[in-house]
Amino acid sequence: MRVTPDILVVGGGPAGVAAACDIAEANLSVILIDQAPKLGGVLFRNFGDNSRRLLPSDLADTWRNLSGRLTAQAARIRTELQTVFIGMDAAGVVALNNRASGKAYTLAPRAIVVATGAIEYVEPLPGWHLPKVMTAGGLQVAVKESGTPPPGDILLAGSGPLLLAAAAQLVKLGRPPVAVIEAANPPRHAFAALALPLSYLREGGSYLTAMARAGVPWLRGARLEEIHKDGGAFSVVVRRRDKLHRYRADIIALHNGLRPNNIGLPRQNLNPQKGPVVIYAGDCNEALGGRAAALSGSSAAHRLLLALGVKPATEPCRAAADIEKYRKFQKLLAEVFKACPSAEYHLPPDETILCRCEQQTVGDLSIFSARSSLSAREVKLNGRFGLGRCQGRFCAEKTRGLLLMTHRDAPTVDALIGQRWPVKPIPIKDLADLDHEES
Amino acid sequence: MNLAIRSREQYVGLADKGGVMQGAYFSRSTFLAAANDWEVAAMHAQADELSRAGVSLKVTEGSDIQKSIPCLASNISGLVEVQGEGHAVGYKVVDRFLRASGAKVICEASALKLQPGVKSGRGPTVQTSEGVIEADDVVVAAGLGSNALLPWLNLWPRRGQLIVTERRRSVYKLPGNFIFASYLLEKKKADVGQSVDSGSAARACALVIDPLPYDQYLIGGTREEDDDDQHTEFAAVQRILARAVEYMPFLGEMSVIRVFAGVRAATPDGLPYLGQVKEAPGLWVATGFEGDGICLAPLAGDAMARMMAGKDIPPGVEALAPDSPQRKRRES
Ligand SMILES: Cc1cc2nc3c(=O)[nH]c(=O)nc-3n(C[C@H](O)[C@H](O)[C@H](O)COP(=O)(O)OP(=O)(O)OC[C@H]3O[C@@H](n4cnc5c(N)ncnc54)[C@H](O)[C@@H]3O)c2cc1C
Ligand SMILES: Cc1cc2nc3c(=O)[nH]c(=O)nc-3n(C[C@H](O)[C@H](O)[C@H](O)COP(=O)(O)OP(=O)(O)OC[C@H]3O[C@@H](n4cnc5c(N)ncnc54)[C@H](O)[C@@H]3O)c2cc1C
Repeated sequence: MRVTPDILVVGGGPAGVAAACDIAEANLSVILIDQAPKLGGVLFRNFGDNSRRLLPSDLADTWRNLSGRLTAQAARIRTELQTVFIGMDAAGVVALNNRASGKAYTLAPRAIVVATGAIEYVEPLPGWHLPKVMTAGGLQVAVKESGTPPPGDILLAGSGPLLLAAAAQLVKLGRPPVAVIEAANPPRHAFAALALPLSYLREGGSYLTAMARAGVPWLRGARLEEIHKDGGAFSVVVRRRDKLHRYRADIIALHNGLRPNNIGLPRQNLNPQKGPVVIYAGDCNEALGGRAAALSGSSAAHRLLLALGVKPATEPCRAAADIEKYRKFQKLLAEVFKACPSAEYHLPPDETILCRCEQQTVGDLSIFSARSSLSAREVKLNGRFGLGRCQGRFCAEKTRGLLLMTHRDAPTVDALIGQRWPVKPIPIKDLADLDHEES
Repeated sequence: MNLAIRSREQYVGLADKGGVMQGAYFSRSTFLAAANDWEVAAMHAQADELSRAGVSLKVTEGSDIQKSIPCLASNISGLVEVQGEGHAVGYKVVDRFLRASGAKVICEASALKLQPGVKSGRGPTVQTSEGVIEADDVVVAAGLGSNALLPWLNLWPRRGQLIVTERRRSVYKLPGNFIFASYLLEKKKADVGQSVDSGSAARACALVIDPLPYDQYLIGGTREEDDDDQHTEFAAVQRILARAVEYMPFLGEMSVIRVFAGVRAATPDGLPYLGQVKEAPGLWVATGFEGDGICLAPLAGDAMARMMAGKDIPPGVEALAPDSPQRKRRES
């Protein structure tokens, strides 16, 4: 039977790896897990492959530095890949599931760093749930993994800088998208944008240049309203002010921003008397982007060590001040990408799917909310929202957002989902056969 | 048991075309299953009791068991089909009754204190977090929360941890709810007011496998003396699931999407409280249903309404009066 390390780090992106290194450098043993087959997280998982040249150089340096520290601490950091965090139970016991071997086991760490990154948010609109409609980040990941974009014409829509990054990536691979539909009009906020650091502006500039060279239209102040199947492809309706535009594409990639991926996870706890210390790091704590993630991992490690009464290797921790800087940048970006009034989100038609797991629609929600009181329990049990296979990861925020349009006291995402395990579905045979690691 | 049968008949009536329970109550069989000698004995004891109450049963033995229900493992050595049972979906039942009643619901209002009424005068008053409410009659039906209002009820918590699977079509379809005989023993123990061991070793030896609509399964459950409904544990769930796959191997491939706990309110003598409080005019109690509150809901509601209106009540209900001196008390 293996012996439980002191600390569990969930997520092997920059935040998790930075936290693991700092903790190991303070002489504690660490188990670092990631559900993916490689470390690196969203940005660096395919570092060293063809994706490398797509990364800005300062980000690449960050990962090179972290990888070096990880190697130096190999004796104290046990890395388990293809391993999913299932959750922490009321006794403070944690379960992990190795997806490759089907083996699940429990352990009882003194503390947990949760660094599970961000998930993309997509506003529900008719057709968003169809096959070949994906998230822009999902498209990026698919491109990174296979080296080429999926076949067919691609349309990008929604809002935010990630759409531009994805478009530029497609241009570089010789497959420019049909168009990029953007709800905001960023050039209008050029003045605010000037307060962003040069590296951000340069990155954005390079994306726009690539798009312009390939003649990719950037339709701003516009909203994708409907996706229809049309033969083997899609035809979509885009509204810009009062005008409707139609496009055809084989693949639609949507994106409306990033959200912390913390649905259902154990709550943060800095008091070891009340069970294992739990700290969130990186985008899972606050979606501030790749540059802030490693800093956030260090800051989390620092707070964790203090909570356990262990002296950190480096003192004092400067990360917090630097993170504040990125928080400011993120706010500026949000301002620059604020939807134009004419392109703001509005209640989609009744037939729009809201919850993919249970095939519940916007219409189902409005019938339910008109006749029932809206406690979180009723929304879930009687409304059938937020309790499918994804455990609300993809519909809880949408459900709350739509309820808020008509009800001021709609339950919060936290009230709908709370803290629960399994964080991801786990086969019964794996749970029935749990191993228990000694501590 | 007779009350449960009667309550089920009421469900059947209400679930008829156009009835309030249409779509919330379904008729189906319940299966009692046993995998060893003492389970077989417990199963037959229950079957005899049911049979005496006039319920129709079908007993299957030996290899016929797996022939009639192929997803059962060969270690299942006894099976009794209890016919004409039903499945009431708890949250739907509540929603339907509530809407049918037309009652005004004040949510997030906590009853804090009860002021008894006076004879042939005003009824009881209830202090709530949202203000004082006066009424001719007050029914305390707050589950375990009833203790805070009427401490002498002395209700005991019995937490149950439950598991819900994903929706997944399988070649097998369970023809009804499967209750493993050890569950009956565990439940009886709770019914007679014995302490269920709250140590974790004893948790999860009772097993129920309940097919839900849309190809999901509800698998339960523990009986623990604890009132924390946020408390679920890997160890307890592992024990339940290990037994579930031992008896129904096909379940192994299904994934768990949710684990949760609920707390049942048990009385010292295992019978629910249903009736008027003698020395307090206008004060009524309906609680202590332990693991049968969904099943008994139509009967309890109907009997309560009849008692209030001074109409006659089903036989057996008078024994449920909350402060009857015959009822066993339990020292805390
Ligand atoms: C689609 C997308 C595109 C992005 N593009 C850019 C960009 O171009 N530039 C930029 O600066 N930033 C970008 N970001 C943001 C950037 O990826 C993050 O800021 C950064 O990666 C955050 O690092 P992290 O360590 O917090 O999380 P991540 O790098 O996301 O790492 C989280 C890790 O946790 C693992 N994980 C999650 N849940 C579990 C679980 N239950 N069990 C086990 N492991 C789990 C995941 O597999 C993942 O490897 C993008 C984000 C996304 C989602
Ligand atoms: C794991 C498990 C499995 C079960 N399986 C079954 C089954 O298969 N069949 C079956 O028939 N039954 C089953 N039950 C039992 C059934 O759920 C209960 O018997 C039933 O819910 C009891 O109903 P009730 O109305 O008496 O109390 P509850 O359902 O407990 O409702 C009491 C209500 O009162 C409210 N309340 C409490 N205190 C106050 C206060 N001071 N002021 C205002 N409101 C208050 C509570 O918020 C709650 O809404 C199961 C229970 C559990 C836990």
